[in-house]
Amino acid sequence: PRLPSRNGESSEKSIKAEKRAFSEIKNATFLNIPERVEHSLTFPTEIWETRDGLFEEPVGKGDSHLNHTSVMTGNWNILPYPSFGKVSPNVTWHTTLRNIVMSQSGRFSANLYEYVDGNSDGISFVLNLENNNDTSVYHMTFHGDRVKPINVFLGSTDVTPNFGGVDVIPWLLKDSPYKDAPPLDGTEYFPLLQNRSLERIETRLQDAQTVGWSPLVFEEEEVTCSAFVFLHNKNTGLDKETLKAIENEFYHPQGVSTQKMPEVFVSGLVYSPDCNVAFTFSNTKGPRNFVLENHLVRFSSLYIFIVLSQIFVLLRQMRINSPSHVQRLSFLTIAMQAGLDAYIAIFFLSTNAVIEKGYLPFVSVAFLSLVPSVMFTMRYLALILRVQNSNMPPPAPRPVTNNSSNNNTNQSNASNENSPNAPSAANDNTETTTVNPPQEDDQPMTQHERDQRDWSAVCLRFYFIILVVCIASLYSAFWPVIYRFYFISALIFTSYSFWIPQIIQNVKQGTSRSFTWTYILGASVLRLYLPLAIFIDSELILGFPPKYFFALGLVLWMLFQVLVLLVQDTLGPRFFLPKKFFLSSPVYDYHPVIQQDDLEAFMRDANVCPICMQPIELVSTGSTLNPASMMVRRNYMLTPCHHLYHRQCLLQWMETRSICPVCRCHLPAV
Amino acid sequence: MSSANIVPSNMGITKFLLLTISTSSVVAGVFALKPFFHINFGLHLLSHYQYWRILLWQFIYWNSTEVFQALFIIYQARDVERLLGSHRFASFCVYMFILGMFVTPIFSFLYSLLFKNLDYIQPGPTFLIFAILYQYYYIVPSTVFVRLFNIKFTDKFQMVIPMIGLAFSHFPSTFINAFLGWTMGMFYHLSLLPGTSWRLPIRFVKPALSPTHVFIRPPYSDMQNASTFNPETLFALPTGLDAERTENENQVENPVSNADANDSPTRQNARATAIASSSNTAASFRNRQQISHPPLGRTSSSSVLPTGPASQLYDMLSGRSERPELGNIREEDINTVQTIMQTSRAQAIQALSQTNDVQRAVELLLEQTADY
Repeated sequence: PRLPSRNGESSEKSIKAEKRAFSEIKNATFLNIPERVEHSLTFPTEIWETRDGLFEEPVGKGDSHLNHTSVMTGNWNILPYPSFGKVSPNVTWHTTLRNIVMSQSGRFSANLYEYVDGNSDGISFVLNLENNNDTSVYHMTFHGDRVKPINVFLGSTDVTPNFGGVDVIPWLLKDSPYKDAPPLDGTEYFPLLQNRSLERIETRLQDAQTVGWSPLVFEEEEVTCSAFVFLHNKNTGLDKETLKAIENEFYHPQGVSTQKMPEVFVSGLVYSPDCNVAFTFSNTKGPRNFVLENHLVRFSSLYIFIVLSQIFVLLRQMRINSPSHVQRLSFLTIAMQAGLDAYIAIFFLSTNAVIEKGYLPFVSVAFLSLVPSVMFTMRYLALILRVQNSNMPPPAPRPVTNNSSNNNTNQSNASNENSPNAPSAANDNTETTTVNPPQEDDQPMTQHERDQRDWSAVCLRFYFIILVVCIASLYSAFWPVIYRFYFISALIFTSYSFWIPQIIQNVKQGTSRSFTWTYILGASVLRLYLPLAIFIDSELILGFPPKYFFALGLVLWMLFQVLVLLVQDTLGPRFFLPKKFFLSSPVYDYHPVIQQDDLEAFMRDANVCPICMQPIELVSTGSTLNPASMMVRRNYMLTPCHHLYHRQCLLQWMETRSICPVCRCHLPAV
Repeated sequence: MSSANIVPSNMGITKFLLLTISTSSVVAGVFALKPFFHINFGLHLLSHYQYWRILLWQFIYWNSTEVFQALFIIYQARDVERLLGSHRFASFCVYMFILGMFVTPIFSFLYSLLFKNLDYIQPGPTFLIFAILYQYYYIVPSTVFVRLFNIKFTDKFQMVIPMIGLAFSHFPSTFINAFLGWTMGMFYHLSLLPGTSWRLPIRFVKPALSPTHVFIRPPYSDMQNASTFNPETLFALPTGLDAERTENENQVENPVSNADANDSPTRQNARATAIASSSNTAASFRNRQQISHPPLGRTSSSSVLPTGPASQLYDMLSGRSERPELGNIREEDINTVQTIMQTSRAQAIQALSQTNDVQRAVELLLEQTADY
């Protein structure tokens, strides 16, 4: 049992066991090995040979790092030997680990922590082992010591009643029983490692006295494979003073230039005696923790500028708030971007909690993303909702019947949804309408009440979606890499489809001009920074290697959306769909073929634009289908009331109001 | 609110100093550039040859406390610019900035040879600020005197605490900086330094001198006050101020309906009351004669700020650009719309309340009539 009853017996038993272990290790020598340790030290020949080979690897010039704390990724391979995987029947495998080891090789990521302390430093080595197609992951944690003079790290998983664990570390440098010439002399470093082992037992003893539980006596419920790790690091090529100066510059910056910090290079061997498996990895490299953090700080510092430009572009767009312009904007396009901004803010705030340095840039990015999301974008959303609501006709009068109110609701909703004049409202508000039961059956809701109701529904959904996505992302941190990668790509590709609702809106309304081009291009380009960084440059943080094709795919996807918007602007919003789909809601064609001769049907000087008083070029007589006449036709606009304008002149006016400047007829949206 | 209202128009250089010091310090903090601004003689100059630090060290403050104290002092001493004139003040600042760039490092270096307690020069324009402070103490007259325990305090006493804070924030280096700044400010004032008559080329100062338009009240109320101006009211005594104010607050609640009653004795906006507070009878006198116009409870920004980016930003932040109906309706506009469209008063108010703009209201009414 993991935690036994805290009666005197169990705690007495634990304390006794720890005290015995302490005296055992204390009285032992390098050659006189205690029985409990010797039991864990029966390695196959291949393991000893691989260990010796590891220790004999050349270390390179210079000194090794003063502190090896780092993040690394690499590949592992199993170390095959005759008895590989053959275990006694009472050993229970962890199924995930078994699957991973049986896949022969795969990727892993690891965090190495070193706690600098005198001659021999303590280490922790956290290994996230993945199988060869990245679909499952297993975490192993080793604790142990660094033996500085020989570039060696020794570690082990925790002690169990059957396994010596960290208590065996002093003897892990034991001479191989099958070889004459050992690569290094274990006796020399024995006293040091023995002392550290005794320190660890003392700590356990204190725990046993307070909790009444010792790993020597009680076993974990879930039996896993216990293992040893041997690591061998390379030298950096720099001398100690330089390395010290580089580290100082990070922890106490003086603004002086230093050399680049070399990466940590480590080769290793992991062997599990009870599961009888072993695997190796060689020359795995990774940056020191502070190099990685500096990299993140630079990334977010640049991102501050990106977010500022995003806000600038958004504010430029928000200046245009005439109802006839806002009417044509898609609610979802803005809402998706607001959601994205809110999510980025939360993402940066939570990253900020984990990193040591660079608090300010991260918080700045979070704040700056939150500002447009909760202030500007939200207000723009409210404006769009209000304008599009107000352009929707009031609900049809309810028939006076004696039916239940429930029936009434359905009828009015049906009439609301099916009314042909409310294409935009049907986009987002149908669900809202059905959700709300009518409180006042006698009076219809006022405009203001409708706005408020829709707005609260929108806010509720908006924050609910963000909450769900955030919780899912938190969970994704513990998923196997490949699932995490698919989750992240799905998230990115969904949220970066924000022009799609606008394209659909254009088709539905038959309008082609929506956001300003500054905004469309600005938002598309600036928003690409973060996902491209995630796809290309996040191996050490999110765990997957650079995905250049996904990055390229995202860029092309954005380009495609922008191109569709551009073509809709020039060729008409429904250019890619056959006309028969839209028989019920035809679009008025502002660019009919008008030839010089047709003008006689109007009046003299009809080809003068009433806005700028300049003549309008018309299609010359001849073929009306050639491309040149197409371009000419795009330059003028004929209103339904038969007034002719320059395209630019009339469009500029229609940003303000949708009436004909000459006769005040209503103009259909462009 | 716009900075145009906080810093009067003829203090461009002071405004520039305030903005530069706060912005540069915040930017340096956010982008982790702080370690590039202090000077450690042994490390930076002798072993790393970073002589560019001498040009940079005065640009930022490390601590927000120092920034706050510096901003406080510069703002309180803004009358120096008024008395010297912007051009001369700008020349003075540049002169002192360049002087401090070299004087403080040289003196600090000599000091560090004698005593061992100076490790580095703390960055920040303390030198310049103390030079301005000297001008403030010896040029600007005090306005308030208080005698407390036989000691005479003036309004300049408020500067002592931020002064101490700036001078002692990092003892030897900031104190040397402050002391030298004060001394050099004195030398400049007494013309003991060479080139005190030097002036910046005028083209550098011109942007700061550009005339700014500050409309505290909407123009129409200015015209009104001018037309009903009575010199007698200037010398009347204030009485019953509070009663008037509460009446005004009641008025603010309901702008449109009150606009009807032309003879109401308290047709005055809160701002006008504040202006007239020195002479209450003036206010009531004017009230009786006034043509009706509604009280400005929540004025549109166009009446507070000059048109320009500031007012646009203000409108955007307050949401007024999207909902102009939040502002109030002017009686003049109602009259205009009524005259143009020949509609009833209620219709005109309704159209204006939807748009708050005469042109748009007319268009709206036109569209409505077209629909019928």
